[in-house]
Amino acid sequence: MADVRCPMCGKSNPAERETCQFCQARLKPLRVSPSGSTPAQPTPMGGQSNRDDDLPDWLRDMRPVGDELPPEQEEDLPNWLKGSDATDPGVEQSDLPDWLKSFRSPAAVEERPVEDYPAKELPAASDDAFALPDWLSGLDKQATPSEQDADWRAEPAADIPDWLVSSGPAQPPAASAPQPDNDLPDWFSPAAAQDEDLPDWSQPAAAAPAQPPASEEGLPDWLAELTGAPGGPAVDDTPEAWAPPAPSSPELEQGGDFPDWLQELNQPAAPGAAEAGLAGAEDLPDWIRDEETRRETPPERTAGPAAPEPASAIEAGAPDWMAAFLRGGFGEQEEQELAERRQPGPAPAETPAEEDLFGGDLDWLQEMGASAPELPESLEAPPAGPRLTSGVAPFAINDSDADEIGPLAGEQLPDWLAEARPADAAPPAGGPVDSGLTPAELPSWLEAMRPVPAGSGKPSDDEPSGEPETAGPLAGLRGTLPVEPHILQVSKPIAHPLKLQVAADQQARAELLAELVQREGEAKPLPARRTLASQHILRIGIAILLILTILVPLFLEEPQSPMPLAGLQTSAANELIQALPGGANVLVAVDFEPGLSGELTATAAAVLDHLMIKGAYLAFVSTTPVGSLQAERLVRITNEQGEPPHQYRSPDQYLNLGFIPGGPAGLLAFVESPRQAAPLTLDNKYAWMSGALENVQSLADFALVMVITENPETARNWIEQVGPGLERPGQGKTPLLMVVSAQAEPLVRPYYEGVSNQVQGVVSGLSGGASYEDLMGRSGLARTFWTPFSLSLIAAALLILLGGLFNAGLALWARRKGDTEGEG
Amino acid sequence: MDLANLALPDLVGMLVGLVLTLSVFSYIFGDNALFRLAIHIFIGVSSAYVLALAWYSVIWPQLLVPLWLGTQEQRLLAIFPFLLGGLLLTKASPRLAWIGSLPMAYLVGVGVATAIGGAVIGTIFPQVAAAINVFDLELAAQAAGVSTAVQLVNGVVFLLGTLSTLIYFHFGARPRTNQPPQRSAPVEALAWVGQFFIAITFGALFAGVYTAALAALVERWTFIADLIRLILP
Repeated sequence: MADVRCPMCGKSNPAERETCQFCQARLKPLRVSPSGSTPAQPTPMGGQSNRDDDLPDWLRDMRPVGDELPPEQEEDLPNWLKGSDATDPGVEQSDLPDWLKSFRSPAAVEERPVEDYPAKELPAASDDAFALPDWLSGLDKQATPSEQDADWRAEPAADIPDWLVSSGPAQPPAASAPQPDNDLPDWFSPAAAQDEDLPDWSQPAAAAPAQPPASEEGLPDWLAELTGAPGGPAVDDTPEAWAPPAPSSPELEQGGDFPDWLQELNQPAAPGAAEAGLAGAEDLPDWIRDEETRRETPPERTAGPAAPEPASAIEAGAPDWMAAFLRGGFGEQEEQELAERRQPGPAPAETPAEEDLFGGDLDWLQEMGASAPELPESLEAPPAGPRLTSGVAPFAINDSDADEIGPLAGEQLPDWLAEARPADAAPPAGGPVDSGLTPAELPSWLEAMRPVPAGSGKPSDDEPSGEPETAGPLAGLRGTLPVEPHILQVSKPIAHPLKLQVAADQQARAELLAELVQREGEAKPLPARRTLASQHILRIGIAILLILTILVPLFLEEPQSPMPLAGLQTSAANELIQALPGGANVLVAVDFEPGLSGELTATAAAVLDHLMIKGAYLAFVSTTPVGSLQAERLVRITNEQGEPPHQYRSPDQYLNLGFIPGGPAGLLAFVESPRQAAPLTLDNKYAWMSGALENVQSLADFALVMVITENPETARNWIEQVGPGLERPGQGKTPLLMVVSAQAEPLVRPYYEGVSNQVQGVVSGLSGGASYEDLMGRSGLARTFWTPFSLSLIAAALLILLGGLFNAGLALWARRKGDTEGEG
Repeated sequence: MDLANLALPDLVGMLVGLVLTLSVFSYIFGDNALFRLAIHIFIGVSSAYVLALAWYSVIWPQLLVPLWLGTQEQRLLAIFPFLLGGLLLTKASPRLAWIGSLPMAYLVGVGVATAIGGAVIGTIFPQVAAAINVFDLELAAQAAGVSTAVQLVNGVVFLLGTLSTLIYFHFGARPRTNQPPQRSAPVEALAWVGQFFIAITFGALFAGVYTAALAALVERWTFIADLIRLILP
């Protein structure tokens, strides 16, 4: 399917599109729908339709009545003539161009008075609306019938326009149902043609019959050749598309500036090009031959409906209009009337004389008609889209809008038309003559895009208000949406005075508040921390005092503090160990942290020394990670402090079972199954396979369980989890001995002093170790530490006492000072 | 002990101990770099030691060796702690931490059950029995080696101390009209008495802590004195 070229942007679009896909312009013209018109209604034979009543008489007279071709002859007609026989409801008689309307019968001319042709109908130099010269306007408008002709060929035979009906053979009224005038576009309406708006190009055509066109010498050459010259122009194109234009320059008249296609028309046509059968007289169609015959015997004209044509003319098949044209054109009365019409009009300078139009000036047309083998494609088959240069737009618009299409149409003239414009084509004299022009019809969308010429004055009432656009594709249009919405056009708000009416006291309060707020932001120097230096000195003084109390007895070895008396719990522990058999298995749990190793090492060493003296087999275990190392260190220190030193070595004298993870749960597991909970020694050897522990299956198998810890929680876990597992059925209970730090003694002592007697002995703190050594008569770390410990303990007690008294004196002094100030 | 008979590692150890001890004592003059250095060293050494101990004393001998080289029974026993221990590692990832909740729940459950069971059986019942048996004057007097009258006084003091301390932590009060809630007069009186027992207990604990710290101080300065004697005979 062929593409449709957009009339606006010139780009190709698919044929099925109605709007341009690039510029959204409408591709298919909005025509006054023919379908909207009343379909052809059969009328009685010989009757006239209502529309015919509106037609001028001369036009009604042009229709030969009874020119009805027999069907067999109708088939011989060319297609466009066939189509012309049928009535086209859409193309009525009003579609008839003015220049063709001028080809009316002389009788009709006679009936029209001369007064009906005002001066405005006389040929105008140019159409201001199109800004085209006359010759070009006429040429453009001549294309209109050609375009319509192309449409008619495509349309069925029923779409024959009235002008063909009226000029062709007489058709029965039923086949040429007229349409009311109100369905016709203005520019097609007969009133427009008959009224004062006849374009200038139609004026010569209308006046053409003033010349003797009917005679052979009055006709253009090409028309003359139609009668007998071979190779005449195609009859289907020439009469319609080539009405005699009004050449406005000698060059144009001579054809020197004609475009090529026009010049080619003057060339002898190829024999094959005379497809209409005009190559020779014998090749002429019958209707032309009949027309020649009929010229010799003109038909009888009647004022009423056209009388039936002679049978010879009907058989010839010549169209009515051609037959009338060939019969000799107009009568004398008509010629005179047309001559009178031309005379009073303000004929422009370029307006050719009547003789120029149809006399010698039409030689070019005669030559062109005689030699044109074929018309340019643009004239033969005009595009379906609107052609602005045609001067007759296929759209029905208001007459007022059509006046402004001229500049746009002039700008879009094709090159060949631009080149064909004569150089000396003078502008129309007398300025724009709107009343004498046929208003151009533009589609509404095209009319909407019509730019408003600068300085055109006030817009009309129909135009939208607002400033016209100055740039862009909408330039010249009014009432367009503004680029910037009004809401964004922020205007400066009106400033309202905000001055408050403040009283003097309010002003004073406000200033006071501002001053207070300002003071809050000012930095204030912090008061000197006098107590900081005193506390620092006090701390250093206390440290020095304690250190001196420790170092003096260590270096001087004097004075020696007396050893503490052993308590019941210490004595109980000593008795338990003392009661152990030699080589007894003793489980020693070393669960203290390095921080308190100084105290617990001295305390535990005294007890461990006793165990070593007893020759107990020691199995060390720990629930804290560092307990295993503390056990090794404890054994080493105990060995060294012994007098003589002990020689406990692993695994012969002792065994380090290592770390038992899991806290209380691990302890419980160790109580239930010591072999599984601690299967290996610290050096990854099986602990329970050989040695003293080979017969140990549970903790109850140990002779003594001693726990060394500084943590009361650890001591409680051992008491709670391990204590119940130390019961030996029938043999009593394995004693549980606690060697604890002084800080844990208050929490462990209830387990010892309770009736249940969960702990059988407690050695707590350095005093417990010293007392234990004293019980044993040994001198160990506890004894070494005891003198400095006791002195520092006394010094600390004195410091606490003095400090308490000092603080009490300060408080009492402050209270008295307060009471004195209160009384004063 | 003299310096000539002292082994080099022991000498180095003693010197390192001396430096670290003096660094800690420098806190007398306030917080300083030496103190912080010593603290960081202790923390680092302890952590490294704990890691090594956990690997060589627990993970390798008690988990991996039974799992790989143990009998079928040992493997079955080791597979569960292995899986639970592996799930504990997911606690390091916030996205997968929920997976580690299973072994954590297991550990907490077992730990709490063990602690509660041990506390009830090993502490509450025995201590309640001890508080009751205090008034078994003859048995208690015989065990304590005192007379019955003295044991009676001891029993009364123990009872008063126990009740007053427990009542002190009783915060129930009856509301009164237009007055703040207040405990009843007997409860308030016993609570006031309980303050003294609590104060004495805290005093005893503080004395124990102080004596333990003072013993550690004495041990350190004794170490320094011994080292000084060793170096400066």
